Amino acid sequence: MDIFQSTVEYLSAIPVFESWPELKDLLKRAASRKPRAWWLPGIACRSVGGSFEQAIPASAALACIQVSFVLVDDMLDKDPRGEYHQIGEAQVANIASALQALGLEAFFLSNSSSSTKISMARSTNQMIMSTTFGQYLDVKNPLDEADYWQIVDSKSAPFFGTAFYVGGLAGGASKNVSEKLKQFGYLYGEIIQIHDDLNDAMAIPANPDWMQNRSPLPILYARLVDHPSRPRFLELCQNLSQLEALREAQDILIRCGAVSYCVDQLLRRHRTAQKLLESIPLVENKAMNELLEELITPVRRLFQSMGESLSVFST
Amino acid sequence: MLNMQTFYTLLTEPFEKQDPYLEVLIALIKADRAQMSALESDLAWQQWDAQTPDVISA
Repeated sequence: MDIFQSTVEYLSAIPVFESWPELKDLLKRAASRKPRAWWLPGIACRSVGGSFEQAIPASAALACIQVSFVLVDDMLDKDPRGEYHQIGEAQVANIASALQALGLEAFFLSNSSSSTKISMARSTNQMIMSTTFGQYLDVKNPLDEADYWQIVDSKSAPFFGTAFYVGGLAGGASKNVSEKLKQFGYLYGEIIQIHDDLNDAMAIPANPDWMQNRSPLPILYARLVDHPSRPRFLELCQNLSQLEALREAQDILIRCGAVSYCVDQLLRRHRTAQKLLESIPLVENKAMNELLEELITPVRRLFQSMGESLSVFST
Repeated sequence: MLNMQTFYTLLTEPFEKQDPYLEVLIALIKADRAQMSALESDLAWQQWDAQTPDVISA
């Protein structure tokens, strides 16, 4: 089944969706990129013995909420790809608010029991509150490690935790199993955030994070840790308009161990998630294992390119 | 979890005990930017943007 098409069709039953062309168009465009996160409730649902169809309301809810977060995040980050450049900040603010309500509404149109609907909606509502708080912390820029991990715990992990949790509930899993799926989702979200930060820090041309004095994890490490190239790194961060300066700053990220630190953080979470997954009594765990493997594939590629042993994955 | 400064100390101070895991992380310090491109992925929060073409119909 095409979960993206099904998600848009499911939401079409809600009257406001049909009467708000810009909102509908946005979701259709998001669906056309097949965002990985929309699959997650379905994969969790299947893993506990349910079907992808049973998880469509959960996918629809997560889709609406993910799009609403991205709309707001783009405005906060002044992202040049942001929808607000096309239709203006006022329209985007209204659509983002509506999408959060639409996401919660999606649960109440499902065939699940009343208690399951309430559990799914409540968990999702808590996730929205946490993510919004994380966005608030993020715009202030993390100053140290504790700030950074608080933002990840508030902003990135809960969305993915909820995706797995509501998928489990949709598939008929017990509260206990669904809670474990949520813990798995938290680790999944943390790993996604670390990859996101690595991609941003090593991108050419410079990602807006560099220009806006933001601190993705590798940059935060190079700014905070007492290493010999730190003064030069801080100097380079003042003016990265030249490609050579960006390359030198990225070289420092590698030499000072910032990338190694991120890889260590990825591997530690991967191992924890593996052990957690083994402890959850699932009906079908192949797709969940594949999801986890996908998260570590870039690290495997890196080690292979360096001719390093892959045994570190099992230590 | 190790904090950043402790991690840096572990990477840079001589150690006697053989630790294959740490040795791989130390080797990463000597990698070049071209090798680091292996880490590139689409694992991110945002996989769509305002310029995405409209191909889904409903």
